[in-house]
Amino acid sequence: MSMDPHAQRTVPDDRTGPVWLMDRYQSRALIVGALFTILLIIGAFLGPNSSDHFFRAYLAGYVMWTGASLGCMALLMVQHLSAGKWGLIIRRPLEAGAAQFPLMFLLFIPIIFGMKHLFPWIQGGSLWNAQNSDAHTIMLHKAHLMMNVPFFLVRWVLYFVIWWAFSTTLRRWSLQRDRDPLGRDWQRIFENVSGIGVVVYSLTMTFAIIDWVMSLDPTWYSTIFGLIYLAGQGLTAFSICIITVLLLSQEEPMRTMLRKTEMHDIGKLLFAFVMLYAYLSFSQWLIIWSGNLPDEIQFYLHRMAGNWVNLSRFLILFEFAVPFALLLSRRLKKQPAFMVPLCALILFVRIVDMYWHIEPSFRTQEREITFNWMYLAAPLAIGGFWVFFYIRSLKSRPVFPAYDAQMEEILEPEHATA
Amino acid sequence: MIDPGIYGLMAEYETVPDLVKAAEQAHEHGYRRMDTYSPFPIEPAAEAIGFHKNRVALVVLIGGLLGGLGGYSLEYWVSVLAYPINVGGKPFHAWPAFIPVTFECTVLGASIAAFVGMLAMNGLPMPYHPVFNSPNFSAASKDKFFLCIEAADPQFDMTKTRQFLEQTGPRVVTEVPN
Repeated sequence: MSMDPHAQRTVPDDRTGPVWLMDRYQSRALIVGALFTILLIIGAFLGPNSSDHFFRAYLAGYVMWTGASLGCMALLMVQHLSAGKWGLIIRRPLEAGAAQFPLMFLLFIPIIFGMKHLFPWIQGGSLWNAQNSDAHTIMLHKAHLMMNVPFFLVRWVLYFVIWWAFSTTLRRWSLQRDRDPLGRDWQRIFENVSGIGVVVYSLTMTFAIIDWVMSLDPTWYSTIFGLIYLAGQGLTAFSICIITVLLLSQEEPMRTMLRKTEMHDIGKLLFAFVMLYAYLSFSQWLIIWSGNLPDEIQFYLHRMAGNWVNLSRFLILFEFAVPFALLLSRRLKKQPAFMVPLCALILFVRIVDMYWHIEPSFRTQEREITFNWMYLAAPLAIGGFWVFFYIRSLKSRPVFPAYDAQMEEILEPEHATA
Repeated sequence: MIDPGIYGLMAEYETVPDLVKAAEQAHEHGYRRMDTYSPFPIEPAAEAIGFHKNRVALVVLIGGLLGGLGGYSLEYWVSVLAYPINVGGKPFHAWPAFIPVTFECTVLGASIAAFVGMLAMNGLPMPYHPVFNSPNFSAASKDKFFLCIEAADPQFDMTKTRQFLEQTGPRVVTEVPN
């Protein structure tokens, strides 16, 4: 990045990303995915209650990486709606992330086999008998209409059909726009689809999270839960895109395209998501703490018992306080050597957060923290494959679009729009 | 000898790169008492004339901290010391309930500090400034970019400074009367 800041730049002729660099990370991701999958399969058959832990860990990893795809799709829509030069820079990484719905659809299949280990609303499941009578009553009389296996599976298929339809449409049009930039009123077409898309995304994602995470605890509910996941997915997706863009910018063509101005903008957006996630999480805590109702406070009682409280503190510190304090600095936001490790930290903490959200919901256990190494192996196994296919999608098209209304501005010397 | 009736010499540029280059040259030349004027903020121009950091950020940080501390202290005083009321069996010092007000007071303190600190440090409001005597200066709010080297600069010399500015490629160089 040692170019003359005053110089007017031109779009590099070859918009293809550095193949050797992407190949390298792709094979690394595959090794991580394969290695941890083997460990996970071994772990599933070893030790007491290992199948329970396997499915819980798998669910945590699954929700984390489906969330990565959902976050990418949502941000892709947002940047079509809001415009902005940061959107031009991370559009192709977002498109690649949003392309992983078929993979995540297939990766749901193990959860179907483990449903009886996971969901307490399944009659005859291993958790059904462990419930107290209140929960039974609620399950039988109120929730059964929604929480029954056939309808649950229909919803699962429906979510993915909807998400896949939106993401694949946006991806296909993006390439068509590159080929024929003036053929249609692309800006408006993208805006219209994205406008509907963000609403549909918010609703379907909320229902999916209710199905996959909130329903683990039969008597607990929170109306802000979907929004918390929305912010978390944004955080995950931004971290992935920042790492991608900064690694790509070691080489052409991204080296020419990525200015300090856009790095600063993307850093500010990450900062905003760090704050949004903390804000929504605190809101849930404050409302439940103020209400002090037995059904609601259990969520936090379970997460404050024993050593769980230390994990809760860890999350407050590393999902909010540390990134918040560091991202205040304008200088650090423009430092790739700082932003890549920070985003990696955030991704790791997101994995811990998923564990924190899912594992304490199983009331059958004693209330002390139960760690099994599969809780780390599962997100890494699924993550390895996710990243592998993500880079595969990224390689399949140029790393930034050929045509965009902002293209002229992004090529201006750094200070012209400062 | 410098005419006391002269505030400085003003060069007018057509483009941002012209202005930034001229400002960099002037700084290299040893000029320090100078300023740039443009229709929108140009960070590199500020850097070029040796203006790296200002203390507004620090003032905002202090204002925010004081605001947050003040808000929390006020709530503590009200709820614990002055009027302790039992609300649903919660402790008097109910910190989760104090957070929203603390947050709002932090924002309030920081924004007041930013507003007052910015005005205090940039010398506004300033009813009179000589640069407005310069012809065509109103274009600094539209589409032209200006560099003014002030007569107060120790290196300022009517002829030499004018010669220097002329060779930086301005549209025109004018005297700014005091």
